[in-house]
Amino acid sequence: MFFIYGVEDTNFDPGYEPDWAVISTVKRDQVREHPPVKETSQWSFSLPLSELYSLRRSRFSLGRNFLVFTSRGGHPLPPLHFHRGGTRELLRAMQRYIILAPSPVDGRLFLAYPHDSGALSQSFDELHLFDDGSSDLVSRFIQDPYATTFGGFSKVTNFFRGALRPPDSPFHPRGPQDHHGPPTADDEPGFELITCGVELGPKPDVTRGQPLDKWEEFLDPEGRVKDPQQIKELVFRGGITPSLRKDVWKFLLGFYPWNSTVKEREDILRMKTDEYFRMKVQWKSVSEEQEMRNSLLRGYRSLIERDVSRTDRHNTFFSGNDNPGLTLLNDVLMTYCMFNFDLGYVQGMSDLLAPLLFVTQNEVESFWCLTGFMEMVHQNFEESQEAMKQQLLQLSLLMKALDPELLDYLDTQDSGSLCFCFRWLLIWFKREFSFEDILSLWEVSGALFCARFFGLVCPVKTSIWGSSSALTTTSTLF
Amino acid sequence: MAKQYDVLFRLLLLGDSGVGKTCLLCRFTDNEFHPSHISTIGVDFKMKTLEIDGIKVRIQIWDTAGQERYQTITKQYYRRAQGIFLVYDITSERSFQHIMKWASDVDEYAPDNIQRILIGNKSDEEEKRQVATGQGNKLAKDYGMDFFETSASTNYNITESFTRLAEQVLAANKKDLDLLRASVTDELNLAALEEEEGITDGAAASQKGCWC
Repeated sequence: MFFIYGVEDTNFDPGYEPDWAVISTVKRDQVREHPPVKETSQWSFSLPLSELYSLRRSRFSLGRNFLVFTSRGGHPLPPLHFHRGGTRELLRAMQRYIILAPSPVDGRLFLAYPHDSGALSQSFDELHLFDDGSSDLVSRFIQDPYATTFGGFSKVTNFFRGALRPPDSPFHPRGPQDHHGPPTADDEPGFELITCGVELGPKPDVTRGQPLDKWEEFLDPEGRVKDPQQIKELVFRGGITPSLRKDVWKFLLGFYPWNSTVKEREDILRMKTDEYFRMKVQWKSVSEEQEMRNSLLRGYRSLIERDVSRTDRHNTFFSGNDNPGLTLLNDVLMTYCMFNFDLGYVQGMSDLLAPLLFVTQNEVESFWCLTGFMEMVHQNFEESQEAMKQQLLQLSLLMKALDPELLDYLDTQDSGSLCFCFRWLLIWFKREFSFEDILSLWEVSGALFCARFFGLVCPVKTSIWGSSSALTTTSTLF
Repeated sequence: MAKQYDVLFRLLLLGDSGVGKTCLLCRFTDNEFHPSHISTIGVDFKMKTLEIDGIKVRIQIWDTAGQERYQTITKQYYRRAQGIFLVYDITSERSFQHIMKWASDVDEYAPDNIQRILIGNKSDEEEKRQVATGQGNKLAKDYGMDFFETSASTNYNITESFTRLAEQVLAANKKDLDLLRASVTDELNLAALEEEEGITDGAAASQKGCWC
């Protein structure tokens, strides 16, 4: 039996109490070799079930349970607090291996007896508590969702305890936060700096290349791009000179094929312009009366109007009340609804379109660049949100491999699902960096040509190397 | 350590896109108003500490995306809240009609004892009003909620409505809060409990022999 129990801290408010977890790192044979009680760290102890003498279940008035284990040797063990329920599950699990009989004199005290030697020799490894059976996987029991609603109140007891216990008492928590001074009483920073112990080695020394320039030199006499792979490589290494973005992005987003000639591109543009305006006329010609009977279209229109007025208004292209940029945003998004009515308009699309409009400075071209972009990411916007859930899951798997300690910490803050990365992934960090940086990020990181990879690698890098401030600001909530 | 707050709880802002949830929140926590704010994607939050009846209450307020499309994400937060603002825009009949849908989602996904309050925002835009104050009052009454018309723009009824919901949550949990305070002594005796097995814990004696 190996417990990691809650790391409580008194310095900040995580909103949630950490939970207990049973982890399967202790192999059966090793358990036997352990002394009856082994404190592997201040936050964990192990005790063979055969050494368990009794346990006492107690309950605070707020419904928070705690258990006190006593070993046969009489070793005092720290009480285990169950802020979000789970004692029942633990006791049930234990009952598969030992008999827990209520004491005749005290109904809250349970005495432990061995079932039989066979059952006892089973380890937690065989309990199938862990999906993939990997030995380093921390598996948390599912918590009762309704018990969590009092997390805030149960926090108070911890607060009082922290306030009233002298700091050198054995129960004073030693959390990672202790590296930093406690905030002052009036200080409500809304974020917390956490330090996780993973050694990543030195940050690799990266030299950026020169931005892609002299576009003409990469074209053959008919205007075909001679070596598209070379262009992608150069963009990846150094980005694109701002004045060239207008041309190159149209290739990166699939509006023009790399091997098209100047002449072919003129034809494509003419054709695509016609197609665009054909779709634009469709929504433009819907009368008010018609729209009254089309709640979907009405809904999209109203959402788009609301979002256009709050997209990148600090950017000169969209600032001010009568800026033509606003009309362009509105019209392109409305036309996209006609292009893909099933998907329609979903919040976040205006964030994707704004940089495209800014770069192309052209209604038709920005529209087709948007369709190219959406081709890569449309699943993110679908109702089921399955694609987003899958990416968050993949992200957590990546983090588990790269920084398991940080993921564990987030888990204790009820943020293990990484929901706070939702916006990062959905709109490609658009809200997390400056407009100019986003233009670079989208083109450089391969955002435009290896989408799926980008979304996953960036947050991990951001969270690990880019001091964790951005991460923790949001993670304290989720 | 200096005492920062006594109680922490979570409030959630729900309502159609563009009714002004984020603006209400910014006005309340930072006393700021940006008429062209950015839309909320996923869930965002802010904190503020209030003092109510001598109790320092830190509230964490979750701001959600209004578009239905994101509800699979936002619904995950319902069950962790103790209080909910149902917000509509008095200049939008549609947002008012949707309150019923929001309220039934709350019934389905939020804890039973959740406290709710109805907010009709943008009360400064009288000339565009589509929902009469009486309609708001009636709906609130039907649902057994308190009702405020607010304006984040003019800072009308903002503190009042946030404070009211916070008070309701406190009152709903008053009994537990009192017990909690009483139990602090218990907690401090834990060390003793480990050594002397004899401590009686009267609070839950009725649970004798029960696993839960």
